[in-house]
Amino acid sequence: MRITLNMQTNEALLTLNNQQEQITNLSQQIASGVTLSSPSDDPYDWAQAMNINQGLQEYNSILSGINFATGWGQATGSALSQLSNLVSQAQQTAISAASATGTSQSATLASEVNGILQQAVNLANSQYGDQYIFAGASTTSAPYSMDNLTGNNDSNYIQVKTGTSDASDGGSTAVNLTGNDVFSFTSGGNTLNVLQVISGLGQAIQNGDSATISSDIDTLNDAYNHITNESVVNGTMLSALTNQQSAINVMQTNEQSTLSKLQDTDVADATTKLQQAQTAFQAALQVTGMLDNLNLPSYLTSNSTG
Amino acid sequence: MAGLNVTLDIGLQTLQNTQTEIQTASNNISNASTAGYATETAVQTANPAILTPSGWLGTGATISQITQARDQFLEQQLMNAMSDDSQYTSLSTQLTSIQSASSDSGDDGISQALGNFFDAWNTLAQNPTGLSEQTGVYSAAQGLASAVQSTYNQLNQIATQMPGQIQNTVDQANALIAKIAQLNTAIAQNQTPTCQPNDLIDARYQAMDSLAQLIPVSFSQDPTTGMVNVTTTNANGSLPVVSGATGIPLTASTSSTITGGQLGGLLTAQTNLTGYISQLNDFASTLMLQVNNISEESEGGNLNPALAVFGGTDASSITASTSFLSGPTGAELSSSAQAIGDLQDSQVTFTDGTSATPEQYLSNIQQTVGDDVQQANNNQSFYDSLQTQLQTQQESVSGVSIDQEMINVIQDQQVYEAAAKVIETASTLMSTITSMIT
Repeated sequence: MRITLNMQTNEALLTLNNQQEQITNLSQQIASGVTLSSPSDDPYDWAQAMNINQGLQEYNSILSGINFATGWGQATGSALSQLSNLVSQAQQTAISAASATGTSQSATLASEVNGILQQAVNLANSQYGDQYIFAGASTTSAPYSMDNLTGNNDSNYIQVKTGTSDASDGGSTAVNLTGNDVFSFTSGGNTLNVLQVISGLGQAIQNGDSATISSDIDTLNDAYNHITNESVVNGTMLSALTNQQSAINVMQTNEQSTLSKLQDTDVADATTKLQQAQTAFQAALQVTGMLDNLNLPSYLTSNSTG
Repeated sequence: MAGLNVTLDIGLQTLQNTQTEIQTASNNISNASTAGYATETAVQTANPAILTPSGWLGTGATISQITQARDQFLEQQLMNAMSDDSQYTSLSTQLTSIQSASSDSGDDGISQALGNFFDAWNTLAQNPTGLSEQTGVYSAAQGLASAVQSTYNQLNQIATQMPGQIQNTVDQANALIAKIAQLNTAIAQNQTPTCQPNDLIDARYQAMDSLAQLIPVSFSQDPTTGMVNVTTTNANGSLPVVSGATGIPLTASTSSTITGGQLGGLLTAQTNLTGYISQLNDFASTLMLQVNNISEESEGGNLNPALAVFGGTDASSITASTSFLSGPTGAELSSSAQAIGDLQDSQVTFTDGTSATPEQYLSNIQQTVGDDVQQANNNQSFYDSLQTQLQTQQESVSGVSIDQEMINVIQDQQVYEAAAKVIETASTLMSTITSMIT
């Protein structure tokens, strides 16, 4: 083959360009820490990485839902345990009242029951953040007051995202117990309200109505059991949330490592390749430099001067 | 005496011949790196012999013509490779800028805004009447709308620049077509059966090479006039652009379906871009429809268009509004917030018939763009090496080899010195004879 001047320069240029490009790519991968800097680097991996990123964002959203539900559930749990204490105090008071003698003792016991009622109403208006937890979905205003012991009767549940929507439970959890869930209970075939029963007990003690007082002792026992039951319901939700949280954490870690495999630079590998590319580039530069002397005119010149 | 005179004549002609050859070599060396230059050779032929009593005696040599080294077959192949190379170079350049305009790694861009949007609805479900949760949804919806719109605007900006670039390329091609026709005329005027106007031919090859970078080119040469006929290809097949002395410029209709060269690359990029924009519109309009369907029915299950979260019709006009917050009760808002949040991993049927989650649809757009760019890049690097290979072959035939020219010059120098010696000798012999006469 006839070798001409342009051929040599074209070839040298192409080789140097290709090697420069390789070096630039590798050093970019090492510097940025990611192998994918645009979709065309690997379209499939790029799309996978996007989907995983969206999944990770969703997991964060789910974890925030779980945190919210857990916080709410803990607030509910502590309100319920205090409430059960109050009911049992009311029951103790009723037992004392049943054997009470004299009006002054009755008045003391009646005011004790009133104090219990006051505390119970306060618990019924417990808040998590600025939301009333026993108000159904109408969480912005206090559901109970001394004048309204039946509450707002809002039976809606607050559904919060605690999983992906393809999960068997639709990925959501009802975080709240409504006022009726907590304060309504059945005793002797009747549906009663805990607060009204306590209030009625106060009236009965005041009026010395011993028949009502003694029936209230049993009724309050049923109320106590009901509230304990609701605590169990709430506790079950909390432990399910804890399980869900650790499951989501595991999935999050898995997705993170998949994402890292997709887009993170294998620094050792890239550095070795960069080293190779640099060596090849230096060799190419040296060869290009030699081309300058490899021709007849320069031989003739060096011969005549030397 | 006759013999000596002829010897002197031959010597003189030899001196002239070697000077012509050295000039040719000098011209070659001087054009060694000139683009489009083909190495020239002074073709030397023996003069007719004279019949003398001693037999046929030679009378020296003449330079009969200066030829250039060209292989038309190689030139045609090189032009094809140039068309392909510049087609994929321009396609890759265009698509790469489209790719960075629409780039969405999942950490940023529309995906991120989409994730935030769903996250905000999930938070709203926790506290539907909370002011900060409500504001969060509105600002996330606004963020999503503006991310979609800004991507659309970036793509649209490239789309509006494309016709100008295409027209520019067509104008350049038309100028080259006119130039080739002019050169055809000039070559036909200067061509004789033995002499060809090498520099004009170089200029015409250069013009054809430039044209081949813009549109596909194939040519055939008329051996008597030296003119070339040039055709290009569009969707309807072969399209003549130069016919002898006449250039046939590309028109808007003939140029719109050119299938190669820079113009072909631009046209493909334009088609692809239109596709991406329509996918983005499908994404935006479907998401708007799905979200609005839920929010518009949030109040008591009745359809109320005033409760739409998004306004507008497609990616160019998507906007977010706050009106969806006023009307529904907290419980209604909470359940619609939850339903909208669930869209994040629901299979949704998009207007183009695809069934995917919103994020999958987005990542699919990115994958399509990435695939197109990757394909263009692969083709470009393939045709780049093919072009270099053919250029090497073409250079091997037509290029200037400095070594060869130096050898020629050394040879010419020796011939020149020998001829001068012959003249000197003949001159001495003649003066010997002249001195015998006096």
